[in-house]
Amino acid sequence: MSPDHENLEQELRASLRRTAAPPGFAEKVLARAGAPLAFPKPVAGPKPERLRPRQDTILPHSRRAFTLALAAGIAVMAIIPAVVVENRRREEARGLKAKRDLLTALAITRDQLQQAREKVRRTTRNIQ
Amino acid sequence: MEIDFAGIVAENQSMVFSLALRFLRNREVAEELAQDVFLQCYRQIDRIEDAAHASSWLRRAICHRSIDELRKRRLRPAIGLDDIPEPAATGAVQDPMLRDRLRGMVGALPEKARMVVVLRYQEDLSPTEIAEVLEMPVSTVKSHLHRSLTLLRGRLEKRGFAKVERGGELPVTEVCL
Repeated sequence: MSPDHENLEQELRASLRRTAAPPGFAEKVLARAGAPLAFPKPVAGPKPERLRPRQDTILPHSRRAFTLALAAGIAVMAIIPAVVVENRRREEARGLKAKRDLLTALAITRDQLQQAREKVRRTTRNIQ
Repeated sequence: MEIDFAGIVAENQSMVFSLALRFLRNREVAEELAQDVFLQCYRQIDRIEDAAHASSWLRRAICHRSIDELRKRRLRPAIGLDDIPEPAATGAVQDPMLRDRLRGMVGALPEKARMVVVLRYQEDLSPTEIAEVLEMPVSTVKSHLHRSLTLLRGRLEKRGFAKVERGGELPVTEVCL
């Protein structure tokens, strides 16, 4: 390399040497990134390895939802027969009460008819 | 192990900003692009192994982003703020006009050649390293350097800046890399 050529390269090095970044450059970058000053380096590994924890965090949610749905189903299945049985019991009780009321009404009607018949018989006897 | 992103920014901000500035010759665009590259780095921080890896990642990213940006914005090499002489003039250069003219001429080189020259003389990278950064053959890098130096020398001579401090005229000779 000739001295003259060296000289041109020297001039280029001096001309193109690094310039300081504008004032506040680093602060702006950190503010835009919202970056902490330092954070832990994750353990190196293939991408699928990194995806696994995400799947793990999703699966328990599904399991939890499934368990809740199952519990709700069981509860509904247990409640429905109880409600049906209770309704039937109430219907029966209503029927029995109606039957009793009817018998009472018939008894009263029978007594009143007997009293009326007795009254007619007495009246007929007095007329004779 | 901890990655200190603030440390990465502090350590590389000058390099990233300067590469964008020398290539784009527009201070505002260079700053914006440099910030974007650091943000991109932050988003991919889990892929960064250490400080040295961060530096090479940032260098590569800013080079490619700058080339893309130039194509996108169609920035023309023009006289801008960067043409105003900088105050910190230490080192071998004694002619500030020559230095400014050289910077302007580098900024007027074709994009690939310009990036090769900036990486060679700002970052002091070898042709092999430049080839890795720009993903091109080493022979292409050497060819860009040779042609660029020849072109620069010719333009300097044409504009009357050929005389340098030692009184020697810059010859158009083959570049030995």
